[in-house]
Amino acid sequence: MDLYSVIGPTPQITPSSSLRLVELGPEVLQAIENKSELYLKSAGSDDYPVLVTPSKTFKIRQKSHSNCVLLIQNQGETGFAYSQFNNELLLSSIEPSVNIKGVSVLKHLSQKPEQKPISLETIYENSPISKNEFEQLRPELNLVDLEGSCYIMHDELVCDCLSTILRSTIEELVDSGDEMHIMTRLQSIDADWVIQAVQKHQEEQFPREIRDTVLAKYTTRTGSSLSFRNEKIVRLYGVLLLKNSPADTKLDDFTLNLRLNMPSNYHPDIKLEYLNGNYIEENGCIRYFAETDLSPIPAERISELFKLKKEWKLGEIEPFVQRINTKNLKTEKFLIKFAKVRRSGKNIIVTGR
Amino acid sequence: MPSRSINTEKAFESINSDTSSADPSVASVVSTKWGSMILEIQGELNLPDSKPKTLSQKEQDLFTTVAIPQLVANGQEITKDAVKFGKLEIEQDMKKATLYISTSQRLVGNVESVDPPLGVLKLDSNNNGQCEIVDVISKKVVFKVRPLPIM
Repeated sequence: MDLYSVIGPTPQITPSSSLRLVELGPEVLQAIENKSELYLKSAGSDDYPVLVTPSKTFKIRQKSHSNCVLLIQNQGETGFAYSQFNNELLLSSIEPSVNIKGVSVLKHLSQKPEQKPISLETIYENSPISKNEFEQLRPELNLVDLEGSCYIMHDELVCDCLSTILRSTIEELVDSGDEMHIMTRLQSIDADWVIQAVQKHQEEQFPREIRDTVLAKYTTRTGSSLSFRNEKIVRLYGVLLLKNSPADTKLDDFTLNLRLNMPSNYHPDIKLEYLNGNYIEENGCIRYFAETDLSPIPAERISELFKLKKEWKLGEIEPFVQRINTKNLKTEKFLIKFAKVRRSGKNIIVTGR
Repeated sequence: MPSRSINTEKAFESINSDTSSADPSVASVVSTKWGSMILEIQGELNLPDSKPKTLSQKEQDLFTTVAIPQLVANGQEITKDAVKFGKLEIEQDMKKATLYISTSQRLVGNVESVDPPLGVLKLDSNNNGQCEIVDVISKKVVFKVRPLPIM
């Protein structure tokens, strides 16, 4: 085959169009084979671009090289190079995120904050995230679309709606003579039955979008069956209660108040670890502290943690350092760099240097 | 940046075609359904920046005019000056390749699988920023060694 090259081959084909070579990993290749839709997206003009398949998000980065890579058109006896590349685009799987810039927090249904309407579709379009990931992450962020405008529901509003759902469902179970097996029934209950119970019993009318978002976040759906996620529900009630409790609340009092705060006849296991990353326990007292208030810089975060408490059990400090342990090392191994880690009986104790 | 849909119709056809049975020629082993192939040389290939004005007949014969393939030309007729830089031969075992440069040098190389395959992504700043993966390349001819003299 005789080989020709255009004079000065570049990736630029015309003034407006250019070519890039991009590595297609198995997921992207599979998406092409399935004729699924692919998109190039970015959170903003200054943010990194991503390529999304229906279910995965890939960050795009450029790898330069010094080789001469020619793209050749094979025409049988001759081939001619019409483009030359000194880099390739690599796709690496990343954690997706949702761009909620400009979206207001909705605390009360009767007082919708004034904002320029932002639709769910606009938020999706401007977020580096695939469609399936967006549908999974939206309820986790309390993001809800009400009459074409999106809001982030405040935890208190979410808690009100969840209480209504639980109360209505439990009342309906009691009415139907199932009062002895309420917690078991809440682990496998027909979704339509729950919705009908809520419509029948709810004293405050929550829009369908809010009800469905709360159900999506606090239940697991298998076919037409729902299972209430007790750990997440305890966490929501617990964190809200902790925020409104004084700093010297006794641990026993807190647990009792938490039980009293939950709908009657709803008795999930309450474990303190469900609130990980949201509390500090010291001398039998518990107080609210959010992991997100700490510095993202490892050394600063560790220093802040030891200002809050001089001695930590490994299990207690773990949720506060998870975010900075980017290489997913064992927590005690990760902490050795910043603190003293020693064993005391069955416990591992972490203290400052 | 609003999201841009990527057209993958041509890439789909490229992946799902059997080039070896359609065209039994040796070059088809490294080409896609759309005739695309990648040739990789260590270092640089020195080509003139423009076609020289005064050329002898022998030199003139090395130059030609080629049309950019419709795969990437979007229906436009784009022609460019091209220069002959060598001759590629792929051995019967479909593994070894030789690139003859002029009449004095040759490069010995291999046909390698590209893993993961490379997509040829076309980005167009007109047409609302149209994006298209026009081809998927899973083999390439690589020359990693220094040129050898032709004896």
